[in-house]
Amino acid sequence: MATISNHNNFPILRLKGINKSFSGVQVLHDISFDLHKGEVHCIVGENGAGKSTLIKIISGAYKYDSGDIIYQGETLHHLTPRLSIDKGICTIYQEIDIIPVLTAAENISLGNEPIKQGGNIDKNAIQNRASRALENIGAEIDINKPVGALSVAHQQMVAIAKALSMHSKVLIFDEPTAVFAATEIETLFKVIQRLKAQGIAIIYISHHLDEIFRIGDRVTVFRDGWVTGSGPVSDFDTNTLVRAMVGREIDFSHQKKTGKPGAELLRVSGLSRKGAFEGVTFSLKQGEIVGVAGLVGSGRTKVARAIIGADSFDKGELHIRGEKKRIKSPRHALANGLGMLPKNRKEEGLVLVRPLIENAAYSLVEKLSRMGLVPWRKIKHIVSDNISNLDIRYPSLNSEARYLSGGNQQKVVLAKWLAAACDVIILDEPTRGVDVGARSEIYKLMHKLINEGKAILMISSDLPEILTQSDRVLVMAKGKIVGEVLHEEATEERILSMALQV
Amino acid sequence: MKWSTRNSTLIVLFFLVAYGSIGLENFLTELNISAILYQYSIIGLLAIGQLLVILTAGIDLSQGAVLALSSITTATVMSTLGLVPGIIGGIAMGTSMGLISGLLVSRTGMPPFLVTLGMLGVARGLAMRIANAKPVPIDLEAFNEFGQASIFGVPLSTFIWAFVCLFLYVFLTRRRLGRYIYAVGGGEENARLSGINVPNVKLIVYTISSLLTAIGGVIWTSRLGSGSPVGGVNYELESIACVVVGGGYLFGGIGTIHGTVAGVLIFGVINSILNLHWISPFWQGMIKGAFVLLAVAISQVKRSE
Repeated sequence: MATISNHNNFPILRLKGINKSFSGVQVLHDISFDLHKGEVHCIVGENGAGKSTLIKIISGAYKYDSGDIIYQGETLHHLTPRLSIDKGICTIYQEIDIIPVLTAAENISLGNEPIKQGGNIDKNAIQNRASRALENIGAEIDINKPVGALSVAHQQMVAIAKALSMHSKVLIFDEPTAVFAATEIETLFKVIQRLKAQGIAIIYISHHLDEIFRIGDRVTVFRDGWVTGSGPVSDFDTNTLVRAMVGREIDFSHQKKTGKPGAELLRVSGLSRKGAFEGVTFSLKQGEIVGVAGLVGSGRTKVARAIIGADSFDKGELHIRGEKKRIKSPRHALANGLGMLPKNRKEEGLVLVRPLIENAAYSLVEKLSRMGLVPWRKIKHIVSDNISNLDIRYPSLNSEARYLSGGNQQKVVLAKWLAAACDVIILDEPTRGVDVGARSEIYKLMHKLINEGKAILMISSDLPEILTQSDRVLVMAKGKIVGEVLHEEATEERILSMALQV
Repeated sequence: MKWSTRNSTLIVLFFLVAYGSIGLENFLTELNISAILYQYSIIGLLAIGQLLVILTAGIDLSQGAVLALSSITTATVMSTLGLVPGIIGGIAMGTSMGLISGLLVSRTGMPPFLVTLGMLGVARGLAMRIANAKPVPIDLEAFNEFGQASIFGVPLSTFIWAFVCLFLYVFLTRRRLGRYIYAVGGGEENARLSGINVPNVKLIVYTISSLLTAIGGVIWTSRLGSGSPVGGVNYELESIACVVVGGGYLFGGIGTIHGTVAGVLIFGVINSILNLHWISPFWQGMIKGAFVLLAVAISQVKRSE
């Protein structure tokens, strides 16, 4: 192929001086950005820095206040999702944008259905398109089941398959790997390499800096709605990148110091539920963080939900502080000092239309209420400490939770559970979608908790997190615990190979 | 999902018809069946329109009032301008109410509950105003006969209903716009992000709902032999009940034409059974209400399976 491509000289997409405000708060200041064909241009920044907002402006989901969007040399005005897609800009949003009641096949073709002569939908073509698209990203999903029944990771795959099945010139990925485990990430990267080779321009947003260094060609850093750095990835290293993101250096050595564990707080024996998990046995002692690793779908969350009484189980026992207990509901679990930070922050962790400070206080309501009266002021006072410790960004403490950025919403849920003062805390993906700065805040808080004599069970698909934070690691695969690894012996390869077996 | 839960609506209908046929003397007669169809074809039209609106997670509370409005308009125009202008006038007037509701819901973001509740008042008031609160009799024999006519014992209005059902069934399952209706109800913001013109979809369903209601109004007028401004009260509640009993989900995205048809027939059969038993209207209301609760309970079970 002796073609000399000059696609690196002329940007396929260029943004000039983009400004955007929401209700008087300016979230994007004079943003300039360009994208070349066949490149992977990464965007990084803390939660609330404006990355997703910019993406939604490019995809037509939001209108911008001023500036220019120039696509293939043509200035675009009045961009809408329809127009954007028709022009070849396809977006995979951070909040997975599939429709639960429709099947995977229907979702993948949504808005873009192939039609036969005469205008009727071509159902065969829809089936074929869906099968092919999912095959390309290595996903095994029943395309004729409503996607609402699928796991979050599978839903994300459907969203990705949808974007890939359109004839796009620009593909935008907003935190695509947030819900993925290692093997899925590998497959995604292979797909991205293939797309690059085809000359497709890719914008890739992620909190995982290692991904940036792996697949990124250029990177642009956002902070508080400004661009604070931009250039080839080779010009940056982790420290300079992080400094551009947060304006200060982050201490990465938040490796946990392994102490001597104390009394046994929780013992799970032979927990089983048909079709979900089998024979799960482990114990948690004061002062330890036990990591739970495993592929997506290995049953970790299911086990956690069974422990705190959100779901039932068929066989097995729970002992809390040596006493056998039958936990009937999450409320009952809380009364016994057992709490869980759920994986799906928005659906299970927050009442989105209520103020964030109220959300953070819900866990204390029962404990501190007397005779049916809730001492809100007292509770909110207790809670605001947690909120400032977690460095949550908000317009005001009374802002409704739904107006916070995704990562900050997560921190609110964490604040709620910290306030609950449980002895045993189960964290399900505690730093998913959380920026680098907040991550270390969360780890510090975890260490503080176990120093106070609590125990943490940490479910995570982030292997570095598992390796640095856990005293020991339980590995699950296909509903069973397939191994336990102590901190000293734990390596990524060892854990991954255990998780992949069976 | 168990077979029995998936087809629960048909099973209920089957048992009701079985009970009627076996247990009641006059149930399975041509007279009775055509009476059921006669009465419920109009509700059937309303229910199909309601289904479309409910699929988008909306609701149309104005149907009964629009029925009355189109009735009075048909009669008034017919008495001065003749048969065809009368029918066109009635349908146009009714449909325009839906157009307005659709515009308000889609362009201003006002909740459908409030918009159609408001239109209910507007339409009813307009109907009363046009009629001066009195019914308007129609002298055209041809028109009045049409409402009573039937082919092989099946009322003409049932043919119209069946045609509409078939047409919209094909539309919902085979056309893109049909799928977009489900998408808007199943996830409005995500539908928008997929490039679907959500406001237009909403505008269309409210317009169709009122169009079908207006057609029902014309049929109803021809049966009465006059336009009435006070008719149709609570018809929208019955149409909603038919959609829900037929498996429709009030929060949008779930529901089918055939399910709604089954729902309509269930109420038609219940009505007939209760009448043949000479049960008082007060009890009838309670029993129908109980059925709606039963239907909702079954759909909860369906959703958790």
